[in-house]
Amino acid sequence: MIRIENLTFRYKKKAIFSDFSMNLSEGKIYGLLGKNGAGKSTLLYLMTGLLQPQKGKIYFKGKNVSKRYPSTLQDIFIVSEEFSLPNIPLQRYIKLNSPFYPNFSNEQLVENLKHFELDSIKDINLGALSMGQKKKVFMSFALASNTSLLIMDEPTNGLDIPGKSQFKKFIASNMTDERSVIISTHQVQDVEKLIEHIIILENNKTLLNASADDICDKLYFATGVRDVKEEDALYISPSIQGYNALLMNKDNNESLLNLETLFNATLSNSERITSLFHLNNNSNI
Amino acid sequence: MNNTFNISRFALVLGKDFQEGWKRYSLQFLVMLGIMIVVLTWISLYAYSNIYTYEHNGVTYSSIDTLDLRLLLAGTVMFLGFGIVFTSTLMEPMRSKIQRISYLSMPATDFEKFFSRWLIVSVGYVVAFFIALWFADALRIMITSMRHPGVDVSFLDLSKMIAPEGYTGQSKYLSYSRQVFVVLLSLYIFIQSLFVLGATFWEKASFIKTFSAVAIIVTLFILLCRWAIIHSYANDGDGFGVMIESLGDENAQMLVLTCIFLFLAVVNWVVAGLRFRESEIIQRW
Repeated sequence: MIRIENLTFRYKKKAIFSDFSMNLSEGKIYGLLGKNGAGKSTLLYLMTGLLQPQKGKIYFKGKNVSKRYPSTLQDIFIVSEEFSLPNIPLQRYIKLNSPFYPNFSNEQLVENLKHFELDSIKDINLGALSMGQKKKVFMSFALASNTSLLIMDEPTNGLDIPGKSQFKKFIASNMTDERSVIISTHQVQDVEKLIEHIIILENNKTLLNASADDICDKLYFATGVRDVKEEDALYISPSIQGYNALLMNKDNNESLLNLETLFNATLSNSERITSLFHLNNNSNI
Repeated sequence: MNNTFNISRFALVLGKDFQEGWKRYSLQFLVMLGIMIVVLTWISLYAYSNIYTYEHNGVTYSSIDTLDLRLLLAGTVMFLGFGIVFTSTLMEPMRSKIQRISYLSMPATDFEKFFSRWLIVSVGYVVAFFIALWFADALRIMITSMRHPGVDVSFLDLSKMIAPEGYTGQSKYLSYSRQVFVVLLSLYIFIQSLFVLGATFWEKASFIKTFSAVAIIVTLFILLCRWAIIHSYANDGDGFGVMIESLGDENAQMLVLTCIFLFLAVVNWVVAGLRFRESEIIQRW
């Protein structure tokens, strides 16, 4: 669905990507993780044509996204960390914006708003809503647009506690085989059970690019254990109950993916993790 | 799908811009109308309070005869002033990163987006100006008639913009020939295009920055011309005048000037459009 070929991109004084390549396929929920400044948001903006690479190309369904063709833009929706909604009633917002998205479903939007308990706000001016409510409205609209690619940058920021759990159900219920979702976040607990494929960017490298299933096949997440041999562990961190550790899954045991442990382990033991998932340096940043 | 220009998609972009920004446009219209009412009414009241007669080539004239000219002069200055200020808002939907994300990710071509903005600040402005002028003139007549009940105050006579062919009487026309009027019109279009271009360079405080840049460039241009004349004609202004006259009759010179202004205006619009096409959500350079 998305093909990034030899991408080079830099800001005025900082190189972000150099000869970076990557492929993303359809029907998956991707988690894009990385420290601050790793280039996550930049990559998302490049994927939507909102930034232009110095070299290389990004293709979405075979079309160069840098051209910002309407046929491409109508099939991609980006929910950025910060966004603006005009000071007009929701009904008018829908009327003005939905015609740009040929697969937009009004019924789906009503359902999504119900999901967020916002079905009574149709006549309210969007400017009168709180930031969290605006985000829920915007995400509801984004999903109702039924684009093949939905990109979300820090989607759970600003959501209340019920909103975060509603968000997970809401994404899961709107997934189809034709649609891909890319979620970039630091709030890993909010999206842990949603993500099917994890990409970790750091220091000009893709440290990890693997499916959650593949990760759980090869790695064992020990949570709250009292006794761990340091030499067996790829990563150990103390927790209230004992230790959280990442071990090699030699006995094919099942464990729940812990994104925080995986992320920290990948950063502290990147060579072993990278080699474990056969990542070559083709995706150097 | 047409990825160059689609009239129905363009109408959607234009309609969205109008409906989302109607409060801002209304406010701008009211400010323009308010200033027009104050200026035109003040000129009119002053003229009717200070009527005097004078002779010109043996014919006696009343000062009221030139009221239309004074009103037209004020109207022309306001047309230019409001025009360039309003043109500076060309990139209003792209003033911040958040707004740029929203505007650039809208599924329409860059040309459709730019053209819709261009149409609003160019053609839309002219329509709004003449509507405001009509209202302001009507109010001027009402207020002046109330202040001077016995006087027959007439509507602003726009035919006084151009003197009839062969007219040699007292100066009561804005331009003494159609050619001069066309040159003035093309000069306005050229100045407007400079502010269109300026808006694509400076999205914030565009008017001040473009005005300063134009002032500096015009000053340098005049100094350069003066230097060239001094060196080429040994400071002989008459010699330079003779050379200009030798280029052709006045009509031909006016035509050349008009063509130069219009050509430069088109160049400015095209460059502005290209700059718009290269817009990114983060200004990197």
